[in-house]
Amino acid sequence: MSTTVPAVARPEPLAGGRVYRLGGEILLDARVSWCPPGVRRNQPVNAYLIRGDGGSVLVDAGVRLHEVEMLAQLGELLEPGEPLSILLTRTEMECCLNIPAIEERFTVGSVWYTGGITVPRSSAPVRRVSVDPGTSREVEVADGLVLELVSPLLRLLPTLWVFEPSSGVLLTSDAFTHRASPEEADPADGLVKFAWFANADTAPIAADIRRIVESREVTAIGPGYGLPFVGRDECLRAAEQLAAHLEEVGRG
Amino acid sequence: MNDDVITPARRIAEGVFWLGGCLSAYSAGEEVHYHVSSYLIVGSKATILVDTGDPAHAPLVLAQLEQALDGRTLDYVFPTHPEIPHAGNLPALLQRYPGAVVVGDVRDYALHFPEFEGRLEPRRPGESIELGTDADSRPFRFVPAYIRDLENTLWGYDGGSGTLFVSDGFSFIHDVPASDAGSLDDDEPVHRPGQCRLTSGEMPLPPTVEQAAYGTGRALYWTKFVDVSAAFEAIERTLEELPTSFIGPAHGNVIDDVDGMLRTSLAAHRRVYEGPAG
Repeated sequence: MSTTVPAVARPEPLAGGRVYRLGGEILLDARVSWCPPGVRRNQPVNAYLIRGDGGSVLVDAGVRLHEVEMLAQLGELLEPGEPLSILLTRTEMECCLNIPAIEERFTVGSVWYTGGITVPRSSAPVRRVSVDPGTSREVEVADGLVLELVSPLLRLLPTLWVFEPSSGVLLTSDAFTHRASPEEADPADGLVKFAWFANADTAPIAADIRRIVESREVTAIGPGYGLPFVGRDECLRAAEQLAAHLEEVGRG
Repeated sequence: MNDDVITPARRIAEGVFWLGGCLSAYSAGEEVHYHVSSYLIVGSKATILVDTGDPAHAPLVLAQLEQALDGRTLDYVFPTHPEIPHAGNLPALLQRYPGAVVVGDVRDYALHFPEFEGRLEPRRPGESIELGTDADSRPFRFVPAYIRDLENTLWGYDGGSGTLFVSDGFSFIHDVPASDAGSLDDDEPVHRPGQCRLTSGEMPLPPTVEQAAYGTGRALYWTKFVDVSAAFEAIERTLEELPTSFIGPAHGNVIDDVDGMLRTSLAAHRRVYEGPAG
């Protein structure tokens, strides 16, 4: 590929190259709503590209601050004319505002979203997918590329987690966002945006997290921001820690 | 697009205009309409737009705004929180009105609209913007959002008209899919023409708890898990402090029967929390 990509923003392979982590870093400080109190550090904001034989699926489109990085990374990974589908884990601004720029440059066949009221702006056909909270369904998002779309109870707006079965990668949108470094991962850091948990019965939400991760062969967890968790044991540990913390902060 | 495309801004009080339109939502294969509203407050000195509307309505909102401003300019844009129906038209508005600044809890907006970072002016709950003059004061106050999804949400209060703008709070839809409500015939049209952009007092019948619960459950998923009684106590204290004649939700008809709709909305939240049989 001819695109020049900044050294700090190269796409990072997960699961042997079936899935790539894209995006860039932001300064996580008091100007960011999900920043834990007193924290000031860099944080990756992630989108993911799932490679298939007949095309690829981009899971979220990155924040607009990273539009240049997203376009460059996609240019490095995609073959010219390669079919691309976009799948939004949430129809929120941090997930979908780069769609028009991506569509200008790449061959986007469809944009998948969940919810129903807010429809992403796209020139490609938009396809709504509905999954009841606490359940999942398999969807062929691109030719020959079937993904399991999981509707977690841990959410604010309609949210999909994406499980790619052949690699075991679970993409978790705005959950599991608390890993700051290989050594530092405090579940509380990822729950700032879910402040209502303090007044909620969180037991079913915690149970749902355990069930999602334990019932699948999850080999990597890719959050929408923060560093991924890699390896089956690490994923199980992260799920248990997050679930236990949820039970601790909830009133249930 | 729907039949609201050319609907002009509606004046609901002195200096307060209701903008926007309805989007369609689907449940069990049936269509319901859902307000995506913005509100313009015109003071003698300055103007402020509460929420930007959805990009699907951008031409509509811009046209309504121009009509309601009637030759004035837009000074402030207050997106109650950074979601698409509330902030998605910021680029179009800021380009159209180059002197306008964005106020409120402006965290995250620089990630979404980095080209406008220099036009973000944070405001905290309790702070005000003066829309009038010394002789004709019209403070616009930023209020904590007692019912919200994103944490960087604020409500607003226009002291000139006594209107409380509540973002995702007090949402309801025009009608409820039969499968959810169990009260409509299968072949009965779900959306009742003519109910868009009516005040609650103008509806043929007052909004029901079911309608409010359906809107609440869609807009505020977390309320399934949380008893919001404490939030409603805070809302009632706010209403005692800030005399309120109108409540302007982003996703429901304008409320002109504040006491009655408070009861309906609280009952709706309880319905969502406890379940239909609760």
